Amino acid sequence: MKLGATISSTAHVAILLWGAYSYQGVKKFEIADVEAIPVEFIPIESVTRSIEGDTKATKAETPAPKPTKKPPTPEPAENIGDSEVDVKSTTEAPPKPVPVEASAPPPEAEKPEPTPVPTNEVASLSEPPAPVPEEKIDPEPAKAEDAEQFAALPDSVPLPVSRPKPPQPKTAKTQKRKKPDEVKPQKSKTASKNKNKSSDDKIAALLNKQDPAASGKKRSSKQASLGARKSNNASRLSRSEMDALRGAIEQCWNVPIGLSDAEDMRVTITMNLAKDGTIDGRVNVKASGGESRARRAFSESARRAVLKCAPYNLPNEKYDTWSQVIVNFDPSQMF
Amino acid sequence: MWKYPKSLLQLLSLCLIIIVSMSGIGRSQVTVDITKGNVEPLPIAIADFQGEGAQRQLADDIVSVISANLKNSGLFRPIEKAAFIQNITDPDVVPRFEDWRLINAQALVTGRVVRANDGRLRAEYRLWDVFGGDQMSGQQFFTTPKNWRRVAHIISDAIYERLTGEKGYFDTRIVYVDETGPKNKRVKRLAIMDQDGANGRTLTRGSDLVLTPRFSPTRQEVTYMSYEGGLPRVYLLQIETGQRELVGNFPGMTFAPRFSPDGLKIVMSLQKGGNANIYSMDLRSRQTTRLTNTAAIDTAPSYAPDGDRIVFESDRGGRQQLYVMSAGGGNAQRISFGVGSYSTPVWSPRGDLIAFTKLSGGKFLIGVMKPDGSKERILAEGFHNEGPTWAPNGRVLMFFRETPGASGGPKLYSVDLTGYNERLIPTRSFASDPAWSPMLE
Repeated sequence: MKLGATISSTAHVAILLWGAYSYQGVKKFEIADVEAIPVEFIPIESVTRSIEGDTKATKAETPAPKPTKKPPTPEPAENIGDSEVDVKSTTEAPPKPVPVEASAPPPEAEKPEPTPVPTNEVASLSEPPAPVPEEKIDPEPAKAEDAEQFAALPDSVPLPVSRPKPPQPKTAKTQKRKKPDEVKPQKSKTASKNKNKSSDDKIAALLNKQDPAASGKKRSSKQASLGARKSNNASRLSRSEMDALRGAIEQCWNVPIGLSDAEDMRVTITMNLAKDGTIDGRVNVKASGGESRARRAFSESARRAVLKCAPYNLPNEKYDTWSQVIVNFDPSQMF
Repeated sequence: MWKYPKSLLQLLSLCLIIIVSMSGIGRSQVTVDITKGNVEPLPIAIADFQGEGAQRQLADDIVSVISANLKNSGLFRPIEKAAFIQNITDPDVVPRFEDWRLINAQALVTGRVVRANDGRLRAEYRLWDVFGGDQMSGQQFFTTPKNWRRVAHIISDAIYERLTGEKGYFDTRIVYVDETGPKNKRVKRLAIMDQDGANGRTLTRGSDLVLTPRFSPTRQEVTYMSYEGGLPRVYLLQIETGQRELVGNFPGMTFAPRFSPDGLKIVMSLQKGGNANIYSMDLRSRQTTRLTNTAAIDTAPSYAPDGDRIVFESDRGGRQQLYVMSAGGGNAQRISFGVGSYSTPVWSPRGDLIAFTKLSGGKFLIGVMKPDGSKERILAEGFHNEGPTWAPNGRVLMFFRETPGASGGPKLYSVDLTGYNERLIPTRSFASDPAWSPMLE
């Protein structure tokens, strides 16, 4: 320990001394007179990231892999032996509660605001007449959720006879080395087989365009094809696209300056976006910190900002990533 | 070098780190952090108020006062009426928000003025959130037609408060020293006007020199210094009745008075020989209390809004600097340490800042600092700025600025706490020593 420290410090001192000595007469950094080259930044993600699984893509010759899904494990039978009860208990998962869009609540009658009661002459306020609601009735009926289709669960699950053996750790596979004469015929064999198969595939592909096959492939460099509703998490907003989104909201936000305790106020807005970039439904506003009146003004200014900014101009092919946007408003660095 | 976690705590924190880092994966939402925005006035559309017959003119006047108030605050930008697409004919119908979104209005004000059966005026307004598409507030007021300005101010306050989260300050008045005549023979009268310069009138005749009027934070009362009777003394004036009285019966000259936050005490300086000390007087019991006892000049005391502390200026350290002591006196701590000398401190009604006049580099500046002396900021510069006073909401300051030369004189200016939006307050003659009233009741 001590020795190490000594060696280390000696070495450091030596390097520093050497540096101080040898860099004494360093030349000035001269900038050559060169012309500037215009550089354009292009988000590389659109090139590198697979766009597999895009619902909008035209059907490709070969099916895109569909992400495998773990089927819900059935509840274990609780009343073993009691056949009646057990037959009654179903293995199917209870149906998911489908969120039904409630119709807009009826416009509430306005509550009279407390008046800044002025002196003698300016009397306090009676209730102002409620505004005539002009709510449009949505012509479209509430859509049923496009539920993803799953294969029906088997009623009974065959039990494996024996427990699968865990993979044994393998050591060096030196013995697998094979002689060249043994390998050669095998190789040609498989090659011919593949040839046949690939031509078969081509014919099949020409004849019928296929739906996605289920496989667990996460990524592929294959061309986009009609795939799963959700892409394989392969797309994500690039840095420049995120910056554009942030810049747009910042432009839309009129900051209520000079609020007391603005430093510790935070507003988080969650909104669902439709494919055309418009806001789908209501925005959810959560505010914390500050005094209540200031907090309300602050959260309303944030809400106005996101509403004003809609529709959002975001890459359509990455819709799944921005179907929900969370915006955090943090003024702590502003004041 | 990786080692097994030694304790349960380490293990738990490790798990937490893993969970936190995993939770980011596979979420199909975008999170954006907004840390800056547009520091620009809020675009607001103020539609014409509906009014029939004689009320037509009043409705227009009310709208123009509201518009001017909001614009002068520096926080709003009323949109030109020529840009309006929808012509509001019935303020009770929900406006076509798309039309107002098109002209980029973030808020919309509609309203009407009608004459009630009893001859009074009924003014009502509605404030709409254009992008949110709903009504934010709506109120109506009854008043005599003569009082329409106050209604306009009250409506302005309601709009201001709803949109900024701050209390408004439009329904307030300013008392100041009105100065007329040549520079070497000025006549100084106490005068009062609305916050926007309207409805001005004088309170004293101008036979005696008056200085440093201060509004009571609770009543329509003013305390000031006058040379009435030869010796400068502190007086108290009831604005409504014009009744005047001498504050305390001190042997020497008294000056720099100011009310306590509850309006029940006056704190001021009493000069004796070459030094001045600070005294407070209870207005009900007339009892006086000595708060400082130094050989220096202690003056310009101002209470904190909670009434627990007093900030004042003193030259006990050689130059004029600001000190804070408890309201009972004693334990004074110096808070100003910048280059130059500091005077006329005023504690903000919000409590978070102290405004002051600073003499530095041959210039008089208006600035603010925190009560502990930190975060000093200069809001106004120039040849001679002095005498800051706070709006009751603690976000706007008013002061006077003197222009040099024989024909020069003082004028009143207001400035936002951010240092933006400095404005000249229109007065009919030269004006100095402004003092902001509390909100009218």
